[in-house]
Order: sequence, then C-alpha cells, then structure tokens
Amino acid sequence: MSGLRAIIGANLRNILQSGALVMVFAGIAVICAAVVAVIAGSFIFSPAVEDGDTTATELGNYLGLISYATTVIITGASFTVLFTVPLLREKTRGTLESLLATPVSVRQVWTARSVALFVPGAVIGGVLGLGMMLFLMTAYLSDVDVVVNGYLVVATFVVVPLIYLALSALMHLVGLLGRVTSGNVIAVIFLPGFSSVMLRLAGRAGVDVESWPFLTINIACGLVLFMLIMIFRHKLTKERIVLSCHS
Amino acid sequence: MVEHSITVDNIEKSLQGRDILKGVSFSVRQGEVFGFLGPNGAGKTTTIRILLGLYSPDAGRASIMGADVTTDQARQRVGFVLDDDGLYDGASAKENLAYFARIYQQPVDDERITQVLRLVDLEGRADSKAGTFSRGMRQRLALARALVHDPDVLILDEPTSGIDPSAQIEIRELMVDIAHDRNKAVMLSSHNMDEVQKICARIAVLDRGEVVLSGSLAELRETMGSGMVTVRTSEPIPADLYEEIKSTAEFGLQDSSENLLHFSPSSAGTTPDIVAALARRGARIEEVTRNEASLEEMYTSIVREGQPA
Ligand SMILES: Nc1ncnc2c1ncn2[C@@H]1O[C@H](COP(=O)(O)OP(=O)(O)O)[C@@H](O)[C@H]1O
Ligand SMILES: [Mg+2]
Repeated sequence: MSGLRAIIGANLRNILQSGALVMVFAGIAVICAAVVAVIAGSFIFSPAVEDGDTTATELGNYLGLISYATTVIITGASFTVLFTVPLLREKTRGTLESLLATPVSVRQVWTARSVALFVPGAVIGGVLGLGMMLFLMTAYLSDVDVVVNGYLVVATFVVVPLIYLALSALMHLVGLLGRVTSGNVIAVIFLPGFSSVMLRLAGRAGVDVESWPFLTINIACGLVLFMLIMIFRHKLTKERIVLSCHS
Repeated sequence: MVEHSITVDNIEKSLQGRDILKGVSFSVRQGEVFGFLGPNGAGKTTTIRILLGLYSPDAGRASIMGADVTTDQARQRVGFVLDDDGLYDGASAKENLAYFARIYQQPVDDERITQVLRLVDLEGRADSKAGTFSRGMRQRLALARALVHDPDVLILDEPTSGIDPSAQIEIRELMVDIAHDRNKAVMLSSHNMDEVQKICARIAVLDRGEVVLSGSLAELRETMGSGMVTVRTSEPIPADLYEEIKSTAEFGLQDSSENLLHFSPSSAGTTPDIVAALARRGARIEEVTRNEASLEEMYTSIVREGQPA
C-alpha cells in the first residue's frame, strides 16, 4: 500500500511539476467560469427574477445544469491538457520501465496514474462547479426562492467525478498499452460528445432533471466506461507496456 | 550445495514472431562480477528484462536468490540499472532515491540515503536535480538508486556505455567494490570484451540469442588455446630434433628462425611438454615466453564468425 501511495504521490508531483501547465489551465478555467457565470447571471437569471414567472424549481434546475456543465467541461478539458505530456515523458525516458522493474504491479501503476490525472481536474472542475452555483445564488438569486435539485447535485458532484475517474482509467489503459495519443483521443472525443449529448437531453429532449431519469443516464454512461475497462484490463501486462514504450 | 544468486535455465523468447533468445542458460554467484557479453542485438537487454520480470519467457526458468523471476520476492532482492537510467530529471538526487526507497517499502531515512550517495561519491550533490547531472553522474546516481534497498543482486545493462573513460573507471571500481566488499552478485552486460576482462572473473558470451561461450576467464583461455609460445635457445637446434619437434602435431610448431621456435600449441597444458622434449634432447633453453591469446581476439572472432559473409 505504501508503494501505491508513493507512486500516486510521484505521479501527482510529476503532473504538478508541469506546474506551469496546471496553473495556466486553472487560470484559464477560472476566467472562463467567471465569464460564463456573469453571462448566465445577466442574461438568464436577472431577467428571470425580474419577470417573476419562473418557479423556484425551474431556477434551481438552471442553476444545477450550469454547474453540471461547468464541472463536466472543465474536468474534461483538464484531461486533454494534462494527460499526454507526463505519460509520454515517462514512456520515452525509461522512468516507467524502471518503475515496472520494481516490486510494483501493473495494476498499481495503472491505478496511480489514473488517480493522479483525475485529482487536479476533478478538484478544479468541482470547485468551479460549486463556486458557480454559490456565486449565482448570492449575486443574482439572493432575493428569490430557489429549490436546488438534489438529483442534479448528485449527478454533478458524485456521478460526474466517477465517470471521469473511469475515463482516466480507460485513457491510461489505452495510453499504457498503445500510443499515448490514442489515449488522448478518447478524451478529445468524449468531452464534446458527452457534454453536448447530456445538455441536449436535459434541454430540448426534456429528460427530467428533477427526478431520476437524467441521473440514471449519467450513471449508465459511467457503467459503460466501467464495462469497457473490465473487458480490456486483462490486456495490461508489464511486457505489453514495455514493448509499447520502445515502439 | 552451491546456491546461485542468479540462475537462468534454458530461456526462450520470441518477439513479434522473431526468436530473440534460443535457450539461454548461465548462472551468477554471490560476490562475483559476472560479465554478460555480446554484440549489439545479441539479446542482452531482452534477457535482462526477463530477469526483472518485465518480459515473461516463452520457455525455461530463471530465478534470483531462489525465487522465480516472475515473483515480487525476486524483484525485492534485485537492484538494477536499465539502459535508459530512468531517473526523474525534475527531482533531486535525494528525491530520486527516496522515491525508490518508498517503492521498495523501505523506511525513508536520510542516513541511508546519504550513505548510498556517499558510496557513489554524490553526497555533495544530494539536492541537485538529476537533470543537471553529466551522464557519468547519472549512471552513479542510478547505481545508488539500485542499492537503496540493499539488494543481494545487481543487474546492470551496459552501465558504462556512452560515458567518458574516467567515469567508466569509477563505475567499474564501484561494481567491483560492491561485489567483493558487500558480497553481492553483480551481473553487467557489455559489448566490450576489454571492459569485461578488467573486472569479471566469469562471463557468458551471447550471440544472436545463444550463449556461445561461458565460464571463468581463466578456463576459457585454457580451452581456447593459449596463443603463441616462443622458445629461445642459446644456439640453433639440430635438424633431427627440429624434425622430431615438428612432427609432434600437438606442439603446433609454426616456424623457426635461428634460435627462436614459435609454437601454437593445441592447449596451454602442452607448453611444459614442449620444454621437456627440447631439454631431454639437450637443447639449451634460455627463455620461454607465452603470449596469452587475448580474449578480445577470441571474442572478435566469435562475433565476426556470427556475421553473414
Ligand atoms: N519489440 C521487439 N520486437 C522485435 N524484435 C525485437 C524487439 N526488441 C528487440 N528486438 C530484437 O531482438 C534482438 C535483441 O535485442 P536486445 O535484447 O535489445 O539486444 P542487446 O541488448 O544485446 O543489444 C535484436 O535483434 C532486436 O532487434
Ligand atoms: Mg541492449
């Protein structure tokens, strides 16, 4: 176990050592979130509050969906930014191969890397998602009733992180066994695909966000990723990883 | 029973349909520096990857300190330097060592880390980033990292390749010290016979996936023939003696001039017989010199033979 913790720690440090990268990413994420928050506040919530004919539940749903979208997009974007460089570096400089020659298992290395990629993005995404919600409530909705939707909160802060943890594991499975860029492609496809499908479902298709349907779709998506991992995880061997480092 | 530190028994391995190792066997003893020699592409790195559990063999077995190389038990007892040193450039020398100490479940104590850094003469650079080190320093740091969990066995893949001669000497001395003073088994791969001859007592020569030669260097010199023997007599020997000596095939008389006789005997043990035969017939011997066939030549011939014409 202390071995696993050491590898997670080292991988995190390695990602954070691309310190500039993480800081720039976090900075851009904060700015984008702030812009979106102001736009949403001025063009959705202010008019809605003035009209007075939007219900407390509807306001809560908008709020929840905006915070959901923020978390999904920022965490996903962090993957596309932070995944490739550190893994590619470890595969080409021999640090990964040396690590594998110690008494650690491939599962430990895989887990450690997956967690280390997941943590910074999930923290930044989660904090900004929550921050967005709190900001909008205090800045624009302090005078009206808002019913925050529990299903959306669970989807945003529990299910979405789990989906991304699974996504990170899948990306690493592919990136460790094959090309690092192939792993990155998963994130690049997943992020716009997932967020647009979910928001369309919640918006125009009218999937109920107030009770279980929207949440269930999210859980199902996580399960699909989880199943993919289960199907392919037995491929992960030290030999395959080392061979892919040298090809 | 002699328990070997490393035992490799008939290992076979193919990669992408090519037979890379075709039944490799050798063993390494505690307290010795063992030379694993072979030209580029012979399969040294592949063998080492198998010993470290990075590849699984298609056939055969290998063990380290009695534990099968596929087990963590074996990996816990071996330290290694691969052909890419695998150091983290952005981390200091000390951090690189502490990381591996943690992975090997060792208590990360400063004293131990300082001690191994002192051993490789990098104590003063403990807090410098590995990325600022010269290639020779990196190799020494990698060696320190390989020792951080006090393994019984060290496996080093071409540890002196690509570094300057004085740094090579330092690394060689370190390897010898580690094997002799600390009674560890040190296995190093090399494509350089000259280097191996300097520090190894026993070797195995690998060529295109097969061990073509193995044993102690002394034994090998013996069986490979001992090179030229030159006998100088005080005056030219009589013709009949010359004919007699010449007709004894195992003496391998090559040519003669005045009072010099050049032999290429079939084995090193023949030299005393030559001397005895000459002395018995009254030849006055002033000097016998033996030019040991350098293993370098032997190796070069093996490597050259292996090459397609
Ligand atoms: N992944 C691979 N696929 C196919 N052949 C390989 C692979 N890796 C190494 N080889 C071949 O195996 C042989 C032995 O390689 P290696 O063990 O690296 O030799 P050495 O370390 O002695 O130079 C070489 O001919 C090399 O081309
Ligand atoms: Mg090699």
